[in-house]
Amino acid sequence: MTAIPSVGDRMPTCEVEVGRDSVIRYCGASGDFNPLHWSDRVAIDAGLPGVIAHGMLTMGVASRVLLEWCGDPGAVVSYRSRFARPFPVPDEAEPPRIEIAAEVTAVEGDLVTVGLSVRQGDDDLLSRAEAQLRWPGQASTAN
Amino acid sequence: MGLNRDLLGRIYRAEEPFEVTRGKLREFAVALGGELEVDVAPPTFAFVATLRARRLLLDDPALGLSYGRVVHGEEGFAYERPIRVGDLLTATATVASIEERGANEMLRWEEELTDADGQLVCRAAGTAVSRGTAGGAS
Repeated sequence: MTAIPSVGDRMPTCEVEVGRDSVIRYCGASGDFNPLHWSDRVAIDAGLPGVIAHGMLTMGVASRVLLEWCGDPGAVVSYRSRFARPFPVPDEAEPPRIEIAAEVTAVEGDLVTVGLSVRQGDDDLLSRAEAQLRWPGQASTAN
Repeated sequence: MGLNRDLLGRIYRAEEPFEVTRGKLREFAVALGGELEVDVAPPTFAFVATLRARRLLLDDPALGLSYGRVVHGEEGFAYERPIRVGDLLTATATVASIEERGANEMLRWEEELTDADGQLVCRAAGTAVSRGTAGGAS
């Protein structure tokens, strides 16, 4: 159990590798087999540099890191984001890495609102990403 | 060329409930780089449980959406309770709005997941950007 955070608190920034295998695995786990996520040929035809990750994979990895910080896998009350740009994932020995950061923007009782940022290098992959968490172990302070 | 506004408000329902098995949750958690043993679904799992209903909507020939032109614009989930192993979830997807944004059209869908007792578990909403299909596009 972690103490309830305060506005301005930040989750330790986390770097995650997202390789071609991650994208293929997410195709299978999610059931989303849009060829943009496994065929360079189709992706290049669509004007992309190659296979791109699912926006939901980026959003999902960010939520996983956030929930590990919070300590309760069922804490999320709401979660939303826009997809800022395509995330190309080339089949290379050095897979792309994304940087996930989160900062508490509001606290109301045990309800904690967190703004998330997911970047690849200097580029934001998500925009306006926000989650509300029912912080664990705070039954006595619940409103 | 444009998307069919006659479908606004139309509700699509998956033919059968989505059964949340431990194996499915494990696959999904591992795909996100997480733990092997999970009883509770990560928040984006609702996108998987609603897939069949959303597919009926997006693939409806009457809508006129061309899959190759579409990118996912945004997505959001609001939970009444977490999705857990053993849940039998029924999904509906509704055409909520279709708007022109320059040369593109923005299709917004809204979805609901209810459990075997008919209780609401999750509301989801997302947009698909249909590139170059707006009426004013040349």
